[in-house]
Amino acid sequence: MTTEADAAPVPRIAAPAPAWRTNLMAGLIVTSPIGSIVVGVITGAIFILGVDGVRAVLAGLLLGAVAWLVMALAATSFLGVDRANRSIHKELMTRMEAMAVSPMPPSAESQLYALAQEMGVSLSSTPSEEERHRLINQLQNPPR
Amino acid sequence: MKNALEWALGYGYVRLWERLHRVEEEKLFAGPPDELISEAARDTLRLQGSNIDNRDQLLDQLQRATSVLAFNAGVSAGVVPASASASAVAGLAPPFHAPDDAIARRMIRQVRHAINEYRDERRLALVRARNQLLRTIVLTALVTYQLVVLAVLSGAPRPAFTSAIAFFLIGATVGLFNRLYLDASTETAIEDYGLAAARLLHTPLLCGLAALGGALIVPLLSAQITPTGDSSAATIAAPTLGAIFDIAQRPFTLVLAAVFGLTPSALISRLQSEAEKYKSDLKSSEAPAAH
Repeated sequence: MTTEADAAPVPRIAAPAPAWRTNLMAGLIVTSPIGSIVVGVITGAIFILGVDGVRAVLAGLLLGAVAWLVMALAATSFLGVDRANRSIHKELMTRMEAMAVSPMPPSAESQLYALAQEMGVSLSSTPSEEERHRLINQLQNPPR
Repeated sequence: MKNALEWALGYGYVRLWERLHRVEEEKLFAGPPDELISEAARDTLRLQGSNIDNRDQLLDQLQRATSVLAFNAGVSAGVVPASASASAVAGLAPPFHAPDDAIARRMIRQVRHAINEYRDERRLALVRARNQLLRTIVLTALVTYQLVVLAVLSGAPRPAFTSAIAFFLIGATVGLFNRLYLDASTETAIEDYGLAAARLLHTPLLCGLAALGGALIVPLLSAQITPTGDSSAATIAAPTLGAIFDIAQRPFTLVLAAVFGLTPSALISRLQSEAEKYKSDLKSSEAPAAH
């Protein structure tokens, strides 16, 4: 006997592509401006070195593709949020840390923590509640 | 892949800025009156120097909101400019009540939202311009590759092929020198999300191709315009490609290549001025002391 739950079609969830493959694809896309130039340069160089016709084109494509692949592999190390653009990451971090010091509504606080999580950092190093109150007091009544 | 790519392409950072701004606005709305007043004063300074379209209305809104908050908080001296005191702002007359306070807070949040949105739009425009330029580079490089393949498959003489590369390199070098000159006037204090780097990659490619085109077209055209000897059709023969790309026979072509290498500068400076406009908008709406 089948229950209603058994009879309901089970939604098929597509298996996510392995991380290395997605990263490599991203690396290839990111390095495509340089990669496309490199393929042409290598083909030309092979022709000048003495290889003729189709063989030069094929060798250029092959070597160019290998060079592009190597560049893409190297680029995968720079795809993270903290490495793709360090200066913006640092700017965002500074702003977030400055905001986290002063009190804020719970909804804003949870959003800020979610944001920190996405940026791959933890705001847990922010001061404790007493420390925060001390800092706020210090800001509101600066020592003369 | 989406996540990894969005950081590399820059869209992710713009999205993060937008989310951070929403948090900031929410925090501002719930802040104590003194904080709100000081933030409103800061926004006033940001608006005064900015190119935001409805700047005057936003400034007026800020003045009204600050007047209400300052009156309710019992402060006025040094916070609200004399011209913006409650009695001077049309339609505002104390005493103010709690609902007025909530409206004033909302108004300050709206102004901050308008400034943030303006800045986020400029950031997004910079990112889009950079990615569009990168796509152009890929397509231009692929077309150049096809030219190389065509030359290789058609069995172009190696000296001519080497000369063509020399013309390309001369154009690229001249283009890069010109870039140095153009870069002297660019704003470097504002983050451009990699647009300047993309332009730097685009310049030698475009200038090299322009130099190659110039070195090819000018001798062909000059042969058509100034035929030698009598005017019979047989004597108006265009020089062969081998002859055009022979530096020993035609050394002046190197000069032509250098001159044509400068021709894309108009296009490049136009791209640059567009980016500079976005950067100047960002700079003009920046907070005076702290960002």
